[in-house]
Amino acid sequence: MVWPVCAVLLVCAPLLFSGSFALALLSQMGIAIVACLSFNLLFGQGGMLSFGHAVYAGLGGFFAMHALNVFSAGAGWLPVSLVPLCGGLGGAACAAVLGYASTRRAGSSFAMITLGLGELVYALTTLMPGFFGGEAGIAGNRVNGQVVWGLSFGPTIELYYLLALYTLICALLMYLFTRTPLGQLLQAVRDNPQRVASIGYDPQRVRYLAMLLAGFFAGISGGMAALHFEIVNAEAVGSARSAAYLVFTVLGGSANFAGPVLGGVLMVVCTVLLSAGTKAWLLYLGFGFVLVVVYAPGGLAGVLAQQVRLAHSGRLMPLLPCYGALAACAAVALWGTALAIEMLYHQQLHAASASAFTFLGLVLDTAAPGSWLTALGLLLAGGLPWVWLYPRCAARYAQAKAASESGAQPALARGIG
Amino acid sequence: MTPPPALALRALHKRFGATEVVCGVDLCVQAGERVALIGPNGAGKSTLFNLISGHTLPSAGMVELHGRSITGLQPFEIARLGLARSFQISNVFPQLSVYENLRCSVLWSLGYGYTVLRLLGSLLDAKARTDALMERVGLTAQAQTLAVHLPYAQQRALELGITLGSGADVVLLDEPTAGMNRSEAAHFTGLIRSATVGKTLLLVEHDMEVVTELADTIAVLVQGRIIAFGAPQAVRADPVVQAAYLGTGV
Amino acid sequence: MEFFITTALNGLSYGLMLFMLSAGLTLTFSMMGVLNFAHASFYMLGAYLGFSIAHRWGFWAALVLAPLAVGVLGALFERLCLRRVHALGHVPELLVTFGLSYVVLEIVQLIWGRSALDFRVPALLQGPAFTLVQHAGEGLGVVWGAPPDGVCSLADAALGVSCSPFPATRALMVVVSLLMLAVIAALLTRTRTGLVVRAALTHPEMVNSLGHDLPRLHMLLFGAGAALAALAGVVGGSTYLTEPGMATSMGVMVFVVVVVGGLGSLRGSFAASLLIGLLQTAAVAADVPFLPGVTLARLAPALPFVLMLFMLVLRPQGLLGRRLG
Repeated sequence: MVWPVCAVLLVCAPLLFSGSFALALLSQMGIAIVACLSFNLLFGQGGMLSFGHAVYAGLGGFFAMHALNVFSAGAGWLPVSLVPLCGGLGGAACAAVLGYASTRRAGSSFAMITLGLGELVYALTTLMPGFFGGEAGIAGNRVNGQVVWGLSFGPTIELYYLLALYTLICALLMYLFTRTPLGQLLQAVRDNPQRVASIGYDPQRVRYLAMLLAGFFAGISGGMAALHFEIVNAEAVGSARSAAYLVFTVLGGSANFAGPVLGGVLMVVCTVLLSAGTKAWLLYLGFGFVLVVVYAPGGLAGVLAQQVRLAHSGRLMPLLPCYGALAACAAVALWGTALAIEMLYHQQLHAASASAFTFLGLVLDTAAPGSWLTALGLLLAGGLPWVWLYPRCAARYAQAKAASESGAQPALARGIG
Repeated sequence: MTPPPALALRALHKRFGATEVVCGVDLCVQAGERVALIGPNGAGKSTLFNLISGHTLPSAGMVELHGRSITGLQPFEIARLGLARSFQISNVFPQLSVYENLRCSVLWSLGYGYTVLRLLGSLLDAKARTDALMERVGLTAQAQTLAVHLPYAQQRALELGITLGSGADVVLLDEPTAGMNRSEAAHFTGLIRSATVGKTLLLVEHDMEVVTELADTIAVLVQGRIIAFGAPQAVRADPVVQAAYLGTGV
Repeated sequence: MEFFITTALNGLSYGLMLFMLSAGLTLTFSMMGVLNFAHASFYMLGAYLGFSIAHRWGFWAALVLAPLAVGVLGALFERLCLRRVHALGHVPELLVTFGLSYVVLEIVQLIWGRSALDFRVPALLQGPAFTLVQHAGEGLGVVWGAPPDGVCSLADAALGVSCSPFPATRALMVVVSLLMLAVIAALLTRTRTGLVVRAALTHPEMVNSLGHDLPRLHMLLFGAGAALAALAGVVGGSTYLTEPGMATSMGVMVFVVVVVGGLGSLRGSFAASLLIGLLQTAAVAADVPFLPGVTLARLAPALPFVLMLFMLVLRPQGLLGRRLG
């Protein structure tokens, strides 16, 4: 049911968001969604926390770009639409080699190893300029590829539909994977590798095969990016990119299949839109990440799923005033904090220029105490009520949650008399 | 030519640093025999189980399954050869439902390997086996409950179900009724007895009533050595056993 | 000849600093099961705080105060954040420390800026601790401090005199790390707290049941680990660079050391730190061609990772780690 709806949404999105910038954003979201889903295949389903997942996406991108250039020059036939698949095969091949080393260990060791492998590959980018193109990277032109059925994929709209198709198919395949024996065993290995061994399966082999699949899909994501940006450079395998996959998948929610989808959308929103709005976006992201890990471990998808569960048992409506009040307090306090942070950043980064600047239409002056007092005032105006409200709302929430889980019907539905 | 014993332990030793935990254990369990391994705490029973199931490497000696040496094999290889074991502390898959837990355990023996080409929903033989297994351990009503939400006794039942799922003919049970009260233990013992008909059973237990109910033969392990092996009456009457374990005047 | 000695000394000093960092990480991991991704961030904080303190009160004050300050910050983080996540498992703990590393990086850049800082050692430590002087005819000699003027000037190159100074900052690194090692060893083996810590390394529940305040112990240990990292930061920041990227570059090296040495093994970390320190220093110093078009020096940054790769394939548990399974 969900899948046809998604397909329709993807087809109709350009009608709502026309214009090449919006379409570019949507394409990037598709790329990020596939990458985050492949990351979560390892993390959410397999319990394998990888700090170097960008390696497979990036290397896939390099393979795809080289394939595009080679076949554009006429050495064989490869339609542009299949370029991401080359990326996928490249990613899988790298996973076959590097994954053999990393899946020898699990848990924290695996995390550290993936970090080390990521740095190794990044170090290699300067040592192999032929493949990695040095500082400039490898460029290509998707229009140079063979034209099939009149589609050159030069126009943004054509590329969008191609990438949307890849996104949908990859997501569907990864979803079906969770319903296969290997997919189920991967989750079993996440829960209890020792027990998996005692039912006849080698947990290391399960992890390795999962790594191959994740590398394949990550490579496809890299190939999609190669087509979209028409350039791949060392940043694609860097630790910042790997960290982004991790951060946004966790923010979206790793326990839910829809989590990485939300995470991919969030990734593009933050890295493209938020970063343009404020210099402090990494700090906000860091704080947000820590808050989510501590207070909402299921991520955004987890929170939404919980609300749906509450709604089903009729316990959501009574909580809405709480949510509204807390949201209002949080907004005011955050506003004050943001003002203070923006002023600090302005002082640091633009020490030479004037002390006054505009932020979201407001004029702030780091030299004037008025601006600082406003920030402090807003923080207190939102923060103090929050401190009073939160315990009460939290207690109500806990009650509602417990009741919805035990299946108790609310008094209204039971009928009185 | 007599068939080899289902499970044979030959001069098994295990040393941890300077401490010898298993000091030369010889044990033969014939096919279809049901042996209970009893002994005081610290006698080395769990270590012995770990040696048999491949979770620990012996310092010396051999373990044989149906006459074939399984010493040094990985636990998953031993499981594939037809030896299944349960754990003293419930060792299930907490984030999977009861149905999914049991289905995992039947997959290998049905030959599905590491495949991604079949959807679980389409595996009808797995479904049938899992349903039968759920029925056997009495968890059909909890099919969709996550294992982590099960009460203790039901988790032990699930543990048993996973152990039996592969259809192995040699079954090792490590204190299956640990932590249960009288009635739960009695019910669970009946469950074990009906579920392991015809199988070779090696059972570690502290509860003598369970032992009497399930086992034809008792082996007594004290300080890493088997000091007695025989029918329950003979073992109970053995003065060495009485002195070491059961106490006088039992 | 003095090339080997100098390289060995440099490699040893770098290796010892790696050990300073990885020891704290290993202790926190062994006791709390949490891999502290922000460990290198404490290193960076130590360097930056050390810089500011040194600016006001001198280097030696910084050497004492910066680790204390960071230790307190670390303990606070454990108390307020990490403890809350403890019940959720090891992965959320790792993620929280990962988030912390990003927040610390941003805050450091916010307060101290994005360019490298000029963190200098006091005049006492500038210049060589000792110099190896190689006379063509007379062989190798050691001169404390810098040799008298004129001994090492270019004109003497014709006479076959070459000098290899060993910087005093590196000597400080060696002294501080060895002292730290000795103090930790003494604390762990000879004090009651140390005894409790060692017990808690393998049997935390039991220690808790015996009446020792395990959460408080965790907080103290986490703070101690942070302080050690900060101490390494003060020394490392003044010897090498103090810049925002120092946490990432050092952090990765520490992880490689821990993987190669075997997670959870202090002795393994020690062996691996020295091995990697020597390997990398030697590679950078020996500017010989290794592969077509690539000298060993250019390969140097990648060498520790290659070593890690080999270790994983041949011996996954590391040099001295516990056997798997």
